[in-house]
Amino acid sequence: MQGRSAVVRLSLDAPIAVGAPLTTEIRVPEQLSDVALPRGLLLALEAGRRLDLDDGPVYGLVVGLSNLRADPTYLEHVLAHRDEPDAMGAVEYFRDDRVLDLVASQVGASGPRIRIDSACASGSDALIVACQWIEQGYCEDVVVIAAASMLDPVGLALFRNIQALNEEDDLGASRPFDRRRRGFVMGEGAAGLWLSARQHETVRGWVCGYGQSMNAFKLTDMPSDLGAMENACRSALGEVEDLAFISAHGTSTLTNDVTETRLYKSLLGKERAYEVPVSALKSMSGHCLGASSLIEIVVSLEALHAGRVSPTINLLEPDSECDLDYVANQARSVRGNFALSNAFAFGGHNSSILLGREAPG
Amino acid sequence: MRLAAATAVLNDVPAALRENPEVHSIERPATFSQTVSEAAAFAIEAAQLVDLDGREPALFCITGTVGSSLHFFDKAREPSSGRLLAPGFARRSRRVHPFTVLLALQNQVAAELSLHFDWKGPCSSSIDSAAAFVDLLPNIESSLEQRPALVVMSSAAGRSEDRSWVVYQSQRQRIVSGAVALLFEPNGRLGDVRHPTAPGSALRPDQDLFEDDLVAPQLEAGLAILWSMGRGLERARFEIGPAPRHAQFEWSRE
Repeated sequence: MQGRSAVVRLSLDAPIAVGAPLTTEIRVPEQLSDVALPRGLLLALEAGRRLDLDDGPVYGLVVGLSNLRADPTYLEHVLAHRDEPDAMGAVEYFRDDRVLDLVASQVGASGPRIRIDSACASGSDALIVACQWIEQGYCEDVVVIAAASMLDPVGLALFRNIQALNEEDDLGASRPFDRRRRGFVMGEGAAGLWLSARQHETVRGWVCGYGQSMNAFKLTDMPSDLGAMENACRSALGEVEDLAFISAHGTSTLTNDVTETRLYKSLLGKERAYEVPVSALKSMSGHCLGASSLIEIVVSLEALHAGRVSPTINLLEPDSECDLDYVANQARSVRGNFALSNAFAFGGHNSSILLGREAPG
Repeated sequence: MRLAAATAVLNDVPAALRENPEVHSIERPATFSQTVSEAAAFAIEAAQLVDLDGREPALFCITGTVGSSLHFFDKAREPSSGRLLAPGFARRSRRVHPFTVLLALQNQVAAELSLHFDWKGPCSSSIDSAAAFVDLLPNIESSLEQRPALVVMSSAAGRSEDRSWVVYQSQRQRIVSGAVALLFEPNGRLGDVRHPTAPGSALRPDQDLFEDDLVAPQLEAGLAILWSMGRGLERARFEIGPAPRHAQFEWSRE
């Protein structure tokens, strides 16, 4: 809310100058202190540890976590031992069911479990899986966690090589909707939430709708035909008019931000689109890849409660093609009971979640 | 939940499935290329054998290893030590091919299916969870209210570190790569798939259906259904994934 940026200069042999690392301490579970663990998995464990779960319920678990095989520790090991099956035990927490089982055991989830990877939409898609489990009566309580960490030399190089990153040495380089935007700044992080079908004394918010679609366009680009993205948003929105704000995907890439602006004009109508604030958290957090959408959902729930939406910082030079109200540089009070949180991922996954401050009518 | 179609394309067909006309042997899928991973190519081959009659499905991808892209990193290793992150990595890293990210991402399978068939409906992309099919049954059911649901399981673990990993895990040397496509519709005629109402004894596809030296990671649930259909079984129960999960589903012909 204070508009503070998490972006710092990176002090490693990195192909990129700035990034937004997670600054809080990550606790390595004691029994795992001697084994190699991917940082993405550690972040997922940390998010789970910080959830204040009740004893008693049989929790299902949905984890949004992309594959961990670009982690430098894993790569160094398998580059040297790729043809030695006996050497694979050293990297077992980087692959397959071991990842999910470990998170389940740490959070105490003994019910169904699944791992979702839809790139940058993994967090919100994980939440949708959990919602459907509850709607279908498969679970009463589900823990949803999303984590991502590619803020290392390998991850940065991979995304730089497809020209997705801003290569400037500038702490203000994450600037969604600004005319000077030149790609995203890599972040890392994790988020977790507990979704429940039961009555609780304290409720932090409600998932009131969701929608998904695929673009069938290109793996790394946005379509000119916005129909599929709009369908996802419309499925989530339903008949709701009382929209306090939109939490944008807002990556700070040239194409995404223009496309999103066009999308919201088409979705809300040209007049109303100028009235609904559009906030881009990535201006402060960088792009936390598969974790970003769940982080944005958690922040949006808090914003709904506070009646105050977080700002899009570094928005100093408006772009004529991005002319909506982006809550530039300062948090602002908002009215309304609902927020729409959007993720539009590599591979064409569109995922849209309608969050509510109060129970759906 | 009613099954309307089931098919598989595999590079190595288990003996128990060789007589099944819906199981096809393909050594190398046609769409496999520099930009489309092996698993995605198998997934496309399997999906195009399913007749959707122009309808757009809800897509459920259950994806294992998509095919190793480890070789892309070889060019960035420091020659004398062989280490990747030795000093100078920032400069050497420009030699890593730009396609590496795209080929490594497992959601690429869902993306390629969407691109190839122009599918723009909802999509769930789950990875690396052996029992994903069992845990997605409620989600598949939910989607059937609006459209048919296509489940595509795919995996290609035949190369370098993927092969070593599967051999380490399973102690088996024959690794099946391929894809299984299952189409669910409210009026599907092939049979019914559901969660059992109570726990009970079940067949384990990896132990009970296939040869002792063979493993088909991520494909077991789909192959178990095809096996049941091929044998004309009235009813069968299967358990998927590592103990002690006991993730079970039931097949019945009616």
